[in-house]
Amino acid sequence: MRIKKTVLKRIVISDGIVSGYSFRGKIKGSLNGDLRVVQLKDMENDYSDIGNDCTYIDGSDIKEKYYLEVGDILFISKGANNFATVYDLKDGVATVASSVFYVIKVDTAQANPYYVAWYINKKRVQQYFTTHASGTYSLSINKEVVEDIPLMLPPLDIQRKIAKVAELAQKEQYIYTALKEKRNQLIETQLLKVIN
Amino acid sequence: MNIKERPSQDQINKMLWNACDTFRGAFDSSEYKNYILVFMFVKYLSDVWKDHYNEYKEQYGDDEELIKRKLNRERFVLPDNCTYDYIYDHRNDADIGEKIDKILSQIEEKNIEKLDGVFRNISFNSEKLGQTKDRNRRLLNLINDFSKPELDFRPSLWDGKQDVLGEAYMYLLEKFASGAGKKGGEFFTPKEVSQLLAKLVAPKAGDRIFDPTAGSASLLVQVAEEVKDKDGNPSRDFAIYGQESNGDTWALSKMNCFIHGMDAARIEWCDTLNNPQLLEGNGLMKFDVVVANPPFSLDKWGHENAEADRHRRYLRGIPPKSKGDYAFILHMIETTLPNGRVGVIVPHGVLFRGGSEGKIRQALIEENLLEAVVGLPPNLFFGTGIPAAILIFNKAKTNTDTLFIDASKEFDDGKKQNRLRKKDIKKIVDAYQGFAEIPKYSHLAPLDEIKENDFNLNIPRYVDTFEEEEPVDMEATKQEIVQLEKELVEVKAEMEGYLRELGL
Repeated sequence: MRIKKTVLKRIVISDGIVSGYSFRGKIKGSLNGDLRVVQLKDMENDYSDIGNDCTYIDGSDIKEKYYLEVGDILFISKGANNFATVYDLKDGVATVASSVFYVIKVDTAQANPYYVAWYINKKRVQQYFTTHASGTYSLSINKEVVEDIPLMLPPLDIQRKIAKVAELAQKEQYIYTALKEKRNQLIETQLLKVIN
Repeated sequence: MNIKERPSQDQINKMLWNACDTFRGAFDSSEYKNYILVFMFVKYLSDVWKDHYNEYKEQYGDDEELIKRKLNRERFVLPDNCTYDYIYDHRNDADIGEKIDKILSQIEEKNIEKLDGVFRNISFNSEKLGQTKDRNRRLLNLINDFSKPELDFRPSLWDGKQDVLGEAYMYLLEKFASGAGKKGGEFFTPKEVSQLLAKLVAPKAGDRIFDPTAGSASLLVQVAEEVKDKDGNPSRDFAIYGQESNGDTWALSKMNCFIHGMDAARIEWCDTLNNPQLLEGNGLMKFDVVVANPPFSLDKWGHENAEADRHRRYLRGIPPKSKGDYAFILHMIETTLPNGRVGVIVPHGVLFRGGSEGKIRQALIEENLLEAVVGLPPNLFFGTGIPAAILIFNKAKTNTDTLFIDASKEFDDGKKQNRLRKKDIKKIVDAYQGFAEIPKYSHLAPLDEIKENDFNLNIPRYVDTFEEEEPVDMEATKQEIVQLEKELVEVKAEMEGYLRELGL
């Protein structure tokens, strides 16, 4: 199997690494908002999922080129947790990411975004971030550093399978957690029934 | 000038707070607060004086002698060349610090009855304010700041809305208290808590009101303002008394009362427990209403003198050496008239600690003095996050029940500190006045119940605030578990498949 050693900027489409939309001031939700904004606060499950508590705003001022597409990688460039996740919400709601993220569009002829996101979250790339972060008060990863993220790329089919196993493993964990909770609930209720 | 054109309370507060910039950085807020507050006080005296002078001038024309005679009968007297205008005219003098000091001592001398000692601890000519050049620059800044038209305190401009100034003074005190860290609680009780306590003790017209740990008199003033006559209208018919051990803080309390127009307040400077100054005949002076926010669990409060106390305050027991809470409570009980009420803010330990404190507590309960216990939300006070409680003692209790109120869950979640909202205060006061059981909020405990609890007053023993959990549908939960287990098998199988394909 041929495994290619490369860097992120060589496997993205042109202008495929851009910062999220930079809002001026606080992002204010609007009751009739039609544009969803993904912010750092929305990241759940160790920064792997987007929660369903996102802010909706009136988005008439924001150009369509900022809208996210399914398969875009969201990379947290600010703070100490520089993780990547794939934007995977297929509900068709127009969505933008805030500027805490880089939005990375990979060239799907070469790379599988789920695989790339998985790889970025692994220790070897995480270590690369700790040595390349800038800023003293609040850390951030600048664009050059993102472009030069080192990657190991197996053939597309293998990438897909690795990503799939990683996804299933995570799903397995969720089920375990849910099971634990439900079991607890059941036992507690049964025991309380004895004394009530 | 119309009142509507006057700056708002917020604007004045802001101007005053900005005036502090002159001192910021140069030295600590615990030091410069006295300078700002004294300066504000002098400006207030001067403006009130000027107002009266103008009034008389209009009435009597140019007869300076007559005007002077009339002015000498005012509530205070400003000697010649002691006005703010005089300070302003000499603001560029090289010896301005000395001049201000002279003015302060003259004001004190002329009003020895009311203002004796108020400026004792302050010198505007002190090296604390920097070396001469620095000092003069700072004083010039200060003088200029206070001559801005927004800070013109002449009562005629305010249509008699004098409380604006009192509010501003309290605002500064509160700001300083919240910035002072641990020390803040020493001289200021948060406004909302003072209001609550004032409403709980509900002072009536003609009452004598006393605070044995007066601080800056913020609580005392608040309680005095709550005085109502028989028809429930605000009344100025009251007498206030206090004692404060810290000299600087004592001076603040005198000025605070003066600015609130409570000139007759008698506030003594000395340690309340070891050297009570408010005496009558051979014993302690007695009052209708006694309130306090004493220091929480004060160490070294004077345990060594307690046994031989000549006022016999500790007959129910001597509080432990390192915790003065009950010493203050006993002092308050002993200074209350037979039909009087006591309202005191205490840490929760007072409700349940054993030893001599337990004995004192039992005695107080058995004498049927304790009327109510109110648990407050956490983090209301300056310098400490611990939750506190209010105890209400009533010497003329007509029943043997004690009301417990758990108000610890209703408050405004502040950034630095929590606050009681108007509705929270109202709910507590209504519950107390109704003196009845409210589910999950208050409980009326007969003496026997407290006895059963070994005279432990811990609020959860009396007020049940436990929320029932949502009932769980067991059948549905069982179904869900089955479903989850099925999914788990599927996921594992799928994963196996991929892993095999990857050759693992």
